[in-house]
Amino acid sequence: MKLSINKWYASLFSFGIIIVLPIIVLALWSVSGKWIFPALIPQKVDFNTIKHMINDPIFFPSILNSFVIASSTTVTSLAIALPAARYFAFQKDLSSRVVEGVIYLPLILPAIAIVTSSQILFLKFHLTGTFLGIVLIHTYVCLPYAMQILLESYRQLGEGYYLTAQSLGAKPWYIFHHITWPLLKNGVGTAATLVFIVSFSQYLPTFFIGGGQIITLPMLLLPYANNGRLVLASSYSIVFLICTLIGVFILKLIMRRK
Amino acid sequence: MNKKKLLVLPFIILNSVVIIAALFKGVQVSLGYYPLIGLKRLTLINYQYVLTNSFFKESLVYSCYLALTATLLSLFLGGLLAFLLLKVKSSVLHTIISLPISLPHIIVALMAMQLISQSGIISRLFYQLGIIQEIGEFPLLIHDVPGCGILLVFLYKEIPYVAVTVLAILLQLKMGYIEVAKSLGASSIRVFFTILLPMLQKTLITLFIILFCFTFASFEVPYLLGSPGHPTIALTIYDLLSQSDLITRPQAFALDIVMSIVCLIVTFIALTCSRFLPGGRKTF
Repeated sequence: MKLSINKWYASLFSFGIIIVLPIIVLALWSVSGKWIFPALIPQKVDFNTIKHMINDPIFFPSILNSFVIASSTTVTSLAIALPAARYFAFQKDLSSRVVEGVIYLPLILPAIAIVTSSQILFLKFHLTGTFLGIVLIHTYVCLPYAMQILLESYRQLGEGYYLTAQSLGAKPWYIFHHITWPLLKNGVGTAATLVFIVSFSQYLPTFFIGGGQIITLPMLLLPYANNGRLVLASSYSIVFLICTLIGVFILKLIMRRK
Repeated sequence: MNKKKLLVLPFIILNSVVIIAALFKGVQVSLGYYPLIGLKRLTLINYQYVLTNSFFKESLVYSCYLALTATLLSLFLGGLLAFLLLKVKSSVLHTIISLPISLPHIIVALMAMQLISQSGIISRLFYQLGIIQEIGEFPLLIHDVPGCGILLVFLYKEIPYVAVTVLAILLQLKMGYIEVAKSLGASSIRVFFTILLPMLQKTLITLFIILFCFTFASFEVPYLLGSPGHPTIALTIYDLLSQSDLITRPQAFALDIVMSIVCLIVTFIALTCSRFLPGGRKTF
């Protein structure tokens, strides 16, 4: 029995290695001054590319844009998903498969089809090239993720507490503040984190709706990776990962304070 | 009651405006109504062209091949990984396994280049070990026709996603059923078909639909790792739209619609299968 547990552990451990190894290689690439075939580790380590990247005038604006878009998308998505998830969790008219269908439709329909077609629509309303337009399309893309998590949280929460408080004469806002929110906080935190990450890594919606005027990190990353500029692309990837971690950390802080 | 329905209004409005209005525009243009370049007569010629031209047909088939292979392998391996996670309760390993879920596809594609390209780490390791004598002997795993690089990126991203989702279901279910069945003498195959499959199949079908549709339509990964001569359908649309010539745009929108219909048909088939599998009817 002991041996078989060790065997399971070893298999899971090797899965972990397969996952971590590429990330280490990515980090090594970002600081490699010279790393030519067939060397297994960089022949020269320097931070020239990273300096070069930071001195690029587009560097800080692209980070700022990414943060502004991802945080606005997080707020908008939660504002839309919280009430909608509440409704779907406690309604009795629709079967769970129908609710799933409505929520997952944006994941089923090809993103590129929706983005390219809605570009015409957004052009008409002068939303292309604006932050509002990008946030709207990002919210559309991220809503299924937020809905999935919040729906599950509401279902676990149940309606009992709400109804009890209501029958005791509590006002809806009071109920939300003292009962629903404290119990729902974890779910909201997870949903916010996921939406932030998904929005942060969007390329196509930003490209088509932003019309190339609003530059985010993925829009810099993709061309560099495509042109085989591995060192620069890796540096941007590391910046990207650090930014996501900072974003997630800030979200955690906000959720803890409330 | 009506007041409660108001809660869901912003959600419905955003989704339906984007989906219905956008696809309506897409259908309009693909049917040849494109006043911007003076086209106003409705015609099916774009669809006819897109569905008969061998280049478009090939990219459609190629996308289906990539999506099906990646999805089925992810479901199978992700399912196995879920059981592994259930057996080994190491929170560090659990966190590491769920790491790829939050990595963006562009970065994973970049990691694939650094790992499995001809000058990648694995090739270098083979060289150092004397398995290959020169760089060209390492097989082409990136920009290749079978799409190894693309598939590996999706597997790296999707196996943990499947595993974590299935694990959540497994933890909710009462594993006691399996113990009982086994102590009553049920074989592993029997346990799988009468207990596990009915309990898991709805989740697996949902995962299949989401993963298939995502992989089928994904742009970044085939853009970075795909074979130049074999574009996926999303790449074809992107190419048609980035041309300055507006005349090819209706074809791109026809492809958009064809793509959406393929996704809806696959979803419908998967849901129908789910109904006829054990455990499917109960929920209706």
